[in-house]
Amino acid sequence: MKILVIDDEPIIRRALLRAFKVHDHDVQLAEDATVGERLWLELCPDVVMLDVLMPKITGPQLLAKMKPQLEKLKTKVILMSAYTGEFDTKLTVHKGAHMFLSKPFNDIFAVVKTVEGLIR
Amino acid sequence: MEQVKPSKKIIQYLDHLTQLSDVEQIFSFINQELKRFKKVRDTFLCFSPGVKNRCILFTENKKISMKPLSESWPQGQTIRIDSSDDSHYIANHIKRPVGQLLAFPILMSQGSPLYKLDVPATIYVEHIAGQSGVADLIQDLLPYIQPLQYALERSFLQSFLRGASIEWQNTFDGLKDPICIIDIEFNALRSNLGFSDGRSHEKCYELFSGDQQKCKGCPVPKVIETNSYQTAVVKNRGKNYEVHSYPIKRSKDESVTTIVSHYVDVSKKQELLSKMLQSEKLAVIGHLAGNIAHELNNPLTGIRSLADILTAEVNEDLQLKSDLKEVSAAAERCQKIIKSLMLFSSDHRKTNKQVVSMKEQVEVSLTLLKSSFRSLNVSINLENGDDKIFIIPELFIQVIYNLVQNACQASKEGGALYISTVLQPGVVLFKVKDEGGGIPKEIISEIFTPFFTTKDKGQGTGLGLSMSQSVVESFGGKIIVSSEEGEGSEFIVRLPRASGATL
Repeated sequence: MKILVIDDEPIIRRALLRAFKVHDHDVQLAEDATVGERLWLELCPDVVMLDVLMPKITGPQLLAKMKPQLEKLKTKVILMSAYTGEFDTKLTVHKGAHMFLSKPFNDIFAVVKTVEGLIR
Repeated sequence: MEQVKPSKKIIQYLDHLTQLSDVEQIFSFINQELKRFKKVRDTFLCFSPGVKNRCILFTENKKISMKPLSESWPQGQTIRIDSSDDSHYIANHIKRPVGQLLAFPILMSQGSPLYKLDVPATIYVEHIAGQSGVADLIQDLLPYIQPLQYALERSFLQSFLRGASIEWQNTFDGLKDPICIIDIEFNALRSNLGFSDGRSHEKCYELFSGDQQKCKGCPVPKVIETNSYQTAVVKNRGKNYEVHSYPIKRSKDESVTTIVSHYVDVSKKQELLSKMLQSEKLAVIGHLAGNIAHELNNPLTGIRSLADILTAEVNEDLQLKSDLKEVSAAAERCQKIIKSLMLFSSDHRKTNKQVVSMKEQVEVSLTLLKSSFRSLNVSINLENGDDKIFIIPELFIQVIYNLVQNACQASKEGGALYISTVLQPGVVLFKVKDEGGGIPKEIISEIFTPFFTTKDKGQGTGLGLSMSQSVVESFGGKIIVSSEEGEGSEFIVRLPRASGATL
């Protein structure tokens, strides 16, 4: 499974990379939405894990831009945020994402399992 | 009487008249003098002492009587002889028939603000001179009557000044703010009751503060130096006064001779302002704390996740594994604190009541209070069981935080602190008990009043308990206090159990 992680927090990217690598997934990292968009189109990942609050372009802004091509690219999008109040599940679906993960993750391995479940 | 040389007699008369200042004395004297004339029966004096009222003076059973007059006596600036208007007027007012009357109007200095009437006084002489003798009688009386103008004017002026002075002092004393008039040597010339208990002729600072030296920060020296209005804040007997000092000069070019100082108690205003600033600051800090908590959350999530991954990868035997577990556990603890902090500082207006466990609420709150517990001997006893309550967690956490924080602050170092939750039929209790100084009886009724605080400036807003009480009451509960001075205090939050409540 090909996974693209777009998050401005280095240690989150690192943790997700390590967690998915254990399970032999192909993980690519982007530190902002611009890089994320380029890699997304270039690599056509199965899953994009997209942080909501990022400087310059936010997660939902990038998502809105990519929404028309999501189906063609067959990409599933997971929004991640600590502001659970603002981006709840309904809003996630409305924006075109497939899942919402609230930070902090209590169990990183459960996150891996959830993402794997989304693809199957 | 007619044998005595008139000039000598008049001089004696004038001499005596000038010594009299009271209008009744003047009337008594002239009444007695005029009655020496055989053709004179009696005399009456109508006068207007100042602007407010009119009176008549006459003798009744050999005593002087004074009656107020509701309407003016017949006016006119010339002498009237046997006018029936005058007779009727006087007869009506002294309640006896009167004979022939001579009316001598007494005019005073023009333009005086004292007199409302053109003729401020008229002296009436009841006589039996008859038509033939009246002209002679007038000639005889005039030397006695003309000087009356000066005597009466002086008398009226004195009583007016006395009245004005009393009115002024009453007004002065009626002002609650302390006011003092001093000379440039700081001698109090005059002060009101707010400033001192009516004493004067001492230094102003002796009267005001009881000190032998000038009040610290007093603006008066600068008033003398600059010849202009100055203001400053002066402390006295635990209060802060804003002192406004004005220079008084006899003329525009002269230097200051006296200074009027007006003291405004600004203690309450200042206290309120500092409390307002404090609560404003706390609100900002709360908001800031929420933001910081959020910012820390992200890296903490990474630290914990990464530590968990590494823990899973590392060989069981290695010391590294337990080290990583420690990292993960520490990160988890931080996350809990941050979660509580975010809950604490969140905007509760958007949130609704929820059914939650009292024990969990207390546990979340206590994560924020660990540092306050450091020097205390804390025992926590949270009962398990159906402890569901129907509350807004964001608000309730603040209540627990406030009560426990207060208890910590009341405790002495190493003191015991008991925190517990108790299940009772229908209700769930949260209790916090300290062994601090207790709350004095006289203030226990005030502790829930907004802005009431016993803490030092900047330490407390005085809002914690009042906010806690209104929050708990909005959940249908109440806060019960029991305190013994010297023994400690216990606060109990009593909330209805939410077993029946629906979401």
